[in-house]
Amino acid sequence: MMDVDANNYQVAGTFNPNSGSIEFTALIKSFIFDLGMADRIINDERINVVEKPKVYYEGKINNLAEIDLNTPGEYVIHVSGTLHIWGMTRITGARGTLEVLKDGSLRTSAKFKMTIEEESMNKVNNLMKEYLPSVISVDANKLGISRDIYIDTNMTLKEINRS
Amino acid sequence: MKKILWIALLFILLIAGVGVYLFNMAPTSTIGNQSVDVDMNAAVLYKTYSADEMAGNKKYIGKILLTEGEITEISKDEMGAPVLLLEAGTAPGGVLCTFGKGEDLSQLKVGDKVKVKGQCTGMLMDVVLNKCVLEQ
Repeated sequence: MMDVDANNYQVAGTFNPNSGSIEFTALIKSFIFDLGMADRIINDERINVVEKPKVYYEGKINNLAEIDLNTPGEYVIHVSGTLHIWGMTRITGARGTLEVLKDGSLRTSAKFKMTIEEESMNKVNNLMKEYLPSVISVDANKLGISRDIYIDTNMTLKEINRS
Repeated sequence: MKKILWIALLFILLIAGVGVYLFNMAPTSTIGNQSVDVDMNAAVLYKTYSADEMAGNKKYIGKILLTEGEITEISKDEMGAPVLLLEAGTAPGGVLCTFGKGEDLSQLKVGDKVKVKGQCTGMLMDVVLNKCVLEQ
């Protein structure tokens, strides 16, 4: 059993300090996998991301009243919202932190979990068996991903001034 | 006989090593010499993509794009990989080009005109190209 990690440094996020709504969007094809085989799978044309190329989260900080956005410091946040990934939608919540930095920008960190459909899991597992180098002598039927995906988000939000 | 067994064992270990290497082999950080699918000016690319994102996704995601434009921003991502933002005319967005971590772009400055080849992964605020290389 091993964890397969992937990083994505191209994320667009917004936060509304009045309503507490928080959103972020990332491109599926921009994930970089540590495991080369997983990277080749995500880049396979049969993993069709053209129709739904983005991971999208829309949620809200429920305890906004407890956070002073004018005072630098670290605050615990409770987020609830909807995660959209690969055509699937999941209502998911997370406990995280929001740090108000001295320059007024915000740094957020939260961990989300979602369980994917069995059909999607099977699609990835079948590709994984296909991509397994033929020189590796293991039972391909014992390989597979689990249905649980954990998403850790770390974002720094600052005002963008592009003219 | 013993010698043959040792050679066989070494051979098996070599095969297993190759297998483990292929399984774990890190993805390439640049697209290298891959051939270009689409050759388009950065401003035109941004305008075409943002006018119809769904159509743009179908045309460009996963494709190797060669684009030319003026640098409006130079930065590095969290892994230290250099990133160039190419202008898109009057639009607020542009074409965001992320290079391999080891690429040295220190000779470039804002305002320079460059040709960049990279793989398109979609559009956020900007059209995103990854695994980029500079073209002459």
